[in-house]
Amino acid sequence: MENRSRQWGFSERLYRTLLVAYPKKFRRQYGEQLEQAFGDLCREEVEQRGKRGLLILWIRTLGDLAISVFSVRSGLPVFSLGGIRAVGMIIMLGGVLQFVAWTLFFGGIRLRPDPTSRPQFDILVISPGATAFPLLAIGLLVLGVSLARRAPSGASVIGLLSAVGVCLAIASAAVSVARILAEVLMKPPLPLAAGPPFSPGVDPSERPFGQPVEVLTDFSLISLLGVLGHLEYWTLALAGIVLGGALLFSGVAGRWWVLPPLMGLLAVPQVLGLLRGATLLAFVSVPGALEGLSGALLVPHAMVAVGWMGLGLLLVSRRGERLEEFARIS
Amino acid sequence: MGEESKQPKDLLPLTPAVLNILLALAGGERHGYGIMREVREGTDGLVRLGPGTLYTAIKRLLENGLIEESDERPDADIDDQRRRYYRLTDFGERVISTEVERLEGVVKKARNQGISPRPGTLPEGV
Repeated sequence: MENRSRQWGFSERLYRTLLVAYPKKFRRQYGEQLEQAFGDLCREEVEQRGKRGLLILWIRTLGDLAISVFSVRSGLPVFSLGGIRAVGMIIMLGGVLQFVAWTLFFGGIRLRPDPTSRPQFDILVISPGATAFPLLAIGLLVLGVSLARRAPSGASVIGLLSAVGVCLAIASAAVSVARILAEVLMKPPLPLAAGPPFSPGVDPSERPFGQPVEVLTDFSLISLLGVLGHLEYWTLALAGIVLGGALLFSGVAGRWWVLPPLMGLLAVPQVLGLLRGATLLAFVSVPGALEGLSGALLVPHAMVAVGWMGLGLLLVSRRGERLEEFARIS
Repeated sequence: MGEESKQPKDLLPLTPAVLNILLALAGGERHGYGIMREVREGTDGLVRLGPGTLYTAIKRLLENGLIEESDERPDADIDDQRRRYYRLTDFGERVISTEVERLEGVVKKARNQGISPRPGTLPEGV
């Protein structure tokens, strides 16, 4: 008995710490009972399924915690039908903003009369692009939590995928917000920020956004900058793929099953962000190649944005009702 | 909380979680873990309430007057910790009766349409 209680003693202490997420009044009224109930569940899982059961319990509990904290703090029943549709609207809006941002960005690079300048529309590009990622991340976060929370018995893969997707969405939102703050607060802009492609024919010693020339000659550094400069893209794309998989496993998508994983797969072309870093050096001195690259990059980025819009539409539609039934709690 | 001004039908349809909690308490007063266990066993694992979900729902049920706190005592089957027990109120009994009546109407309508359960689709008792 002592060994068993030691097995879940740490879990109980960790859960007690996490209860701080609830409002103080709720903790005062139900904190002790929450701890007791969780401790009972831990004991039950360890006795019946050992450490594996405890792991599965934690996956469910994290989702349960997130959903119920939201519900208590907002005073709203979390997943009424309106809730799922609101998530869909948020994701759709994120997709639209991303589509607008990429169209402005890559279209603007090609059409700008003076590519070396930093005209006002860069602000327009940054705003929807910067806003899109936190919105998408929030939408995916809520979606992932609902799936994790309702992972049915024996289908913990949904819970696990959803938990991973949630973490990725949080990471994406954090990086995106950090980048917004960095763009706004720091002058000159950080060299790690992903700047636009450089225009051919421009004096290499004068680059927009202040990136030093010697950076361009270091292939590994370009690749690293490409990855770091697109960190929120990677994590969001991965979150989309992972949660698309969770939706597929849940069977909620029905005959529209192709949509969530397709959205995730469409995110793969964003790997061009890494390739862009690696190929910038080659394109800098080739006339016309940069405009071509810009146009080529617009297509997969725009397709990804359309994928997000499609996922949002799925959630807003009647198929979202099935997810509502799947995820409803109280 | 204005229980008298509310009618049972005002709270219908009940969500699956609330319905199952009330059904668990219809069998007698229980503490939180007891409710979770009863719901899980009664639905053969189809409905699992986490602690956060349970006590969020209990909070609302208390506010709406469907349940009330009973007392605090240990559960000898588990350990000697004192646990808070809950039970249905009269209003809560009326609400769940009304919901069961509504669901019976739904089932009757389905039968009239020729829809009947297929054997083995759901576990026994669900």
